[in-house]
Amino acid sequence: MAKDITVTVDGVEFTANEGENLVSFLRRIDVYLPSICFNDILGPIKTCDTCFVVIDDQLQRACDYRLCGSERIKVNDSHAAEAREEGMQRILENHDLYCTVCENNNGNCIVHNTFSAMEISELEYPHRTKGFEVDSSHPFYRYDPDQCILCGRCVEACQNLQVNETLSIDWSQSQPRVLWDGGVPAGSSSCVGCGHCVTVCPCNALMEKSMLGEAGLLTSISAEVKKPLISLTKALEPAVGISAILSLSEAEARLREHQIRRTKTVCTYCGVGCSFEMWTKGRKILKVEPTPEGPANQISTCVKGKFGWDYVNSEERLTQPLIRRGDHFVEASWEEALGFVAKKIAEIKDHSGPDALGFISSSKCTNEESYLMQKLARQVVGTNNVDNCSRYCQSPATMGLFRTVGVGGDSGSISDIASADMVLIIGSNTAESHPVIATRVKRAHKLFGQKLAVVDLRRHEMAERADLFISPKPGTDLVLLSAVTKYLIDNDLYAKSFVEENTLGFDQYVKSLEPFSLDYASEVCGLDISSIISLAEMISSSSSLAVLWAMGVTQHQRGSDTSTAISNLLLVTGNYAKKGCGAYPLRGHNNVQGASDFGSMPNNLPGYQSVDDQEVRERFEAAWGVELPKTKGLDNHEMVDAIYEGKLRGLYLIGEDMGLVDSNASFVHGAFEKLDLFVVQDIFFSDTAAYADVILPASPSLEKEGTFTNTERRIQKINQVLSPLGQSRPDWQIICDLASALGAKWNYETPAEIMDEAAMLTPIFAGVSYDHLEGFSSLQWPVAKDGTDTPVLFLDGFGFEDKKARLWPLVYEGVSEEPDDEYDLHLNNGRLLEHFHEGNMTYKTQGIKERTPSTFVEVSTELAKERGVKDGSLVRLVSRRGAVKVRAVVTDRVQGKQLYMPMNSSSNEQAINVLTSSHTDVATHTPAYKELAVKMEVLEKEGRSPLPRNNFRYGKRTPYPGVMVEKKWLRSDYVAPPVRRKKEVR
Amino acid sequence: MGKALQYRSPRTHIEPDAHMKLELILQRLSESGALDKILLLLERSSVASAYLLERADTDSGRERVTNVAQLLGALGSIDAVRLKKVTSMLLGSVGERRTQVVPPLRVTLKRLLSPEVKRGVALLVDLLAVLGDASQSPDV
Repeated sequence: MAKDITVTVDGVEFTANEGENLVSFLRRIDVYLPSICFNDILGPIKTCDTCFVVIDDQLQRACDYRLCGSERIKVNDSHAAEAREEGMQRILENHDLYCTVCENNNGNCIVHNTFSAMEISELEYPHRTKGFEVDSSHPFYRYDPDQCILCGRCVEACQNLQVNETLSIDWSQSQPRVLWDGGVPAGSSSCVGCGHCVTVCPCNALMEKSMLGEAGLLTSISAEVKKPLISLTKALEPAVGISAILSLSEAEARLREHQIRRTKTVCTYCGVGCSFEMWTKGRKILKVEPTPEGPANQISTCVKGKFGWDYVNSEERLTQPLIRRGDHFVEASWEEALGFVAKKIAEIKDHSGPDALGFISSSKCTNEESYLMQKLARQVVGTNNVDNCSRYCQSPATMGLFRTVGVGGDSGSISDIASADMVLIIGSNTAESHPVIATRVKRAHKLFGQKLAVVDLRRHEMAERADLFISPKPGTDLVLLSAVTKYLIDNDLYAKSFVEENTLGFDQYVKSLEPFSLDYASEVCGLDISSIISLAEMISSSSSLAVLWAMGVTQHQRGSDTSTAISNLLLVTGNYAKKGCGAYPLRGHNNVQGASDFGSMPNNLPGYQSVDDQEVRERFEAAWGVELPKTKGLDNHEMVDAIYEGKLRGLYLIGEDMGLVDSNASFVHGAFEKLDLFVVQDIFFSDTAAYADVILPASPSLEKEGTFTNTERRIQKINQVLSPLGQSRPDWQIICDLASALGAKWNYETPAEIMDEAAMLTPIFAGVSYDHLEGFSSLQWPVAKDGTDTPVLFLDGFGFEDKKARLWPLVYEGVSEEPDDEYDLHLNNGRLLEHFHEGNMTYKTQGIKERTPSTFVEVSTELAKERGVKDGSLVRLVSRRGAVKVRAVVTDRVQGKQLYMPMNSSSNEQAINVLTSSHTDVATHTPAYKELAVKMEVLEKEGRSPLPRNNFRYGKRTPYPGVMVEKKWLRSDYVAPPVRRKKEVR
Repeated sequence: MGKALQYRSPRTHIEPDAHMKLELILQRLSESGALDKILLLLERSSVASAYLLERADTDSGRERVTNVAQLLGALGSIDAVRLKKVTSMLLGSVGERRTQVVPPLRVTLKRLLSPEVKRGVALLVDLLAVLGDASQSPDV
């Protein structure tokens, strides 16, 4: 807690926090001070020279000053004002003011607003060109050097917030400008398209291409017309005064308010839960604007969240219900389609009982929709056969946490990851799968000395950046983690008092660790003993540890056990129940957490309340007025088996391309063909929909209201941005309509009413209501009835009745499929940054598709040499289940006989799950996607690389400490304001 | 029960909204060269601009103005009341800035008070008013 201090501002005393940044403080007390380059999140950059104040008789930049107490600060001082005006005049030498026809004239242009507020009446230095062409090479934004004020915000954001280290300014050049990879076109650089630079640009130098020509009343005028219009205005400027022209542009900005809607929503891609304002004009999406209020991401986004929204207005959207008639689909009315489905459900239920029907909800849908889906299954139909796609990814992590700490969610917040002394990433390509969380780790590692260890098969970006990178054999993480834990205990490097006070089962657990000696781990994992010890000692020397893991851990036959081993390690080292540490299974979809939280699970009612708990059932039965099924239902995997066994005859599937994303795709397709009723509800005609009897057109997140829960258990509200396209409907409405067709009387009019019911029946959501979720407000469950939420779990004990955690003994039993003489290669698989999952949304964005048009297989340099494979070679990968043909990318991201194939595929002929097996995690039935042996046949040695040369992976990053303003100050043409520059210097 | 079928969704035709219409009209005006000519002339000098603005207040001028009004009318959200509010704000703002910002001895002030500039500003305000009224027309 910062100490209160007293400072004087223009003769008035104020209380401030010791160490508070002066610009932030002045903003907080509502004293206006220009500050163009300063940004609360980026911190001081010191380039713009517009924030001078006098502090104890010294002229200083306010952005670079931290309060220590008793200062006399003069903002309203002629000397300081003169310096600020000189700074602003120099900025306008670099920036042409044509605000009325500028796409950034939306009331929030920092350069415009600062200039206007400073009431400058005449320009001292005329605008001059820098002599560079506009760079429009990037698919999503353009850079106009002649509008760039060289404030360096974009550079700071790229170097030290996103930490992609693409942008820089070379102050030694005669005419500095922002450079990509030191001087290549933006579109051929290492830029990952995260959009940070565009978001923080204080003017129109960096603009989203989707805004160009669209944002203003006059911005669509062609450049040939716009130029004379600007010239005319310049000609009028001396006559009418700058202020009159500014007024006109401000009036135009006001007019824009009537045509541009800004709606807060939450990203629909990964589980980070980025929130932002979506700017729309009619159905056109102008831009995504993250704000500092976004609780998970603040001003950060990734390429998908910032630019990947074309799928919403795609011409391929389903807009009308379809019914299978013979060998084709025919369009039908909603009444007809829902009537058909209800009739068939009733028939199957009457003939074979309610358990002959299955329901699969979507992690793309809202919490309210997940709640309704399980209610439909349980209350209306009478079965617990309801699940969601967390079965394909995160169930093992949840299981590991339930076993050990009693709560199946991240134990802290994203801010705790950022503040941890050490981060250990296991089986997670965080920079590509959870890009915004990766930025927090990269920033803490680069700027604040956070230690980073990565355990992974691939040398991905986080591995490259790590202080310690360990690459064990596939499927042996459990052995490594257990050996590390054993080493810590054996050497008395564990948190003895924490273990004694907070855990049960230590002795039994220690006994279970006996096999996990360093020698054993070294042999099984294929690692040097020294690297195992290095990891252990790095952990023991850290004051706090956060462990991040994902599918590289969970999608194994022993995924639950490895997740358990992670939690055991955290318990033994005392890294729970405090800030800046803990367990972070990184949830893959935007609402994969919420889909399970709200009860679309075969064993749990909402809030992880077991279906076999009588008290729980009675509470729901009283509210729903029916007797509920008492035993656990079928999960996704069991449903497929049950179809083959003839026990499951009808399946209602929402928002999941199960035929592509479930493992052993051919086996799953075979199951679909056997169903008596298959209902698919989606926004596109997916590969799975091809097997449906009825297809119901749903609306994506932008067309509905509801809530999502992100990886840190944070419930956030989404607001309707656009109307549903065609006859598509929000999923919650469709489920309600189907319930009505089946005779239920639900009568929900809004998602808020659904949430109220869920909160009433679910203790961990007791205080959740839309009243607490307005704007950027959010709640992290559990939420007490008074609305108090829980950013950090376990501060008052673990999630068991006795409040003690459990150390869970483990054994290692190998993997389900290993390479052998015939299938001699291990094929790893996962996501790419720019595509989401199978890619049915991201392939609709042209800029993404151009740069990453198809999937491919990564082949190590040594294997490529051995087999004569080159970039672009066409290979056939054959597993025991099937074969795919893909082109190769030769890279050192993979080693030896490891291959890697991204799971996005533009056609199902290249789908990874043609190859994967039906083996699953023993405890949860999550497919063991990562345990896959293949052989590789080279079909064509020469071919075009599947990754175009302008893909960011071929760029060369240029890491710098930041903008390095000191180099600007050393330039011969720089003099510190208020001294005016000599004319000849210009 | 069934084998996989193919379905090609009829290309979803998204009705052009008001903004798309606006773009089309602007594009037509731009392509016809009308807008370009006016603006090139306007570029010459402030006197010429005042002259042109005056010409805009003729029958043929109004016709062109109506064209422009159609553009704004197509926005649908701009009604006369809102536009008048903005106009008032603009005027108020300009007046305020004149007194607060422009130093009295500067040449710019003199020029601001010159008859042609005054007339230009007055015509601009009239133009905005016409746009607002036109946007209310049922034909737009």
